[in-house]
Amino acid sequence: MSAMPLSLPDMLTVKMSYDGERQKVLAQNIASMDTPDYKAVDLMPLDFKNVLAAKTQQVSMAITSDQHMVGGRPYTQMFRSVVSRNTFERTPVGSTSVVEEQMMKVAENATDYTLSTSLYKKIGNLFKEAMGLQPSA
Amino acid sequence: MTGIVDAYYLAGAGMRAQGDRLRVVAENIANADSTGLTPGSEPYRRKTITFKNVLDREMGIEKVTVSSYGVDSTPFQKKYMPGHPAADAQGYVLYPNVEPVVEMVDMQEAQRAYEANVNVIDVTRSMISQTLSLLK
Repeated sequence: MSAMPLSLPDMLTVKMSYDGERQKVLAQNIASMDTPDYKAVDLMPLDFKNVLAAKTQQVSMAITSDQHMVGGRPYTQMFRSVVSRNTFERTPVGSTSVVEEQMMKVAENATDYTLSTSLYKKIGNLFKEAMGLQPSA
Repeated sequence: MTGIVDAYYLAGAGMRAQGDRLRVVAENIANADSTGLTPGSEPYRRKTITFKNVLDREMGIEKVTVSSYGVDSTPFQKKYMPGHPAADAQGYVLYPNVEPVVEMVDMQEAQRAYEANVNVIDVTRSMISQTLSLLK
């Protein structure tokens, strides 16, 4: 365990889980665009303060035997999904999931994810370089 | 990682629902000229489809499914065809309330919605392959 409460790879892991979870929420919006009265949802933006708090103030159950596993909260439970306000429009069937808007979000999310994975790779390459190994492309 | 894989199932459910919608459109177009056989009998009535979201308890996700198949209650068209077996005393035959233009538009819409879901699967797959490429 490093001295830092949250290292860069740790943060990237959180960001990647967030993007994964957001992808799921957006997929649901797109699949439901013709469902009458469907309300489009989105995740609350990732907030560094909350992530840090969840990581550092994590309370887990006491372990009374070596064979017990520590039950932690998965990252995904830190992400809250809320009904989107101010969507582009309400479609004739009454759904607030507008395909253009949702596709835009999907593209944005995929870009974010690429950023995280590229950074993650960079960090890995730093370690490889330090060990005198050939960095991967 | 579970979140991102669920996106596949959600988009898949969306594709299935839109596929069912396409089937209803096909049925309507195919039956656009299905009249009754005897005088006074009703012709084919246009079918409609409605979606709803149900919670898949096993996976913990809200999937879209077909809620109900209904019928369009708009009045039938009337055509003057005295020689037709289903013609009434005045020579009029009731034709289905299917409007080919409406069906075509509906078909296009279902196709685009299907494509949007395919697109989501594409993006999700590229995200997963990026993750796997971290192992390289």
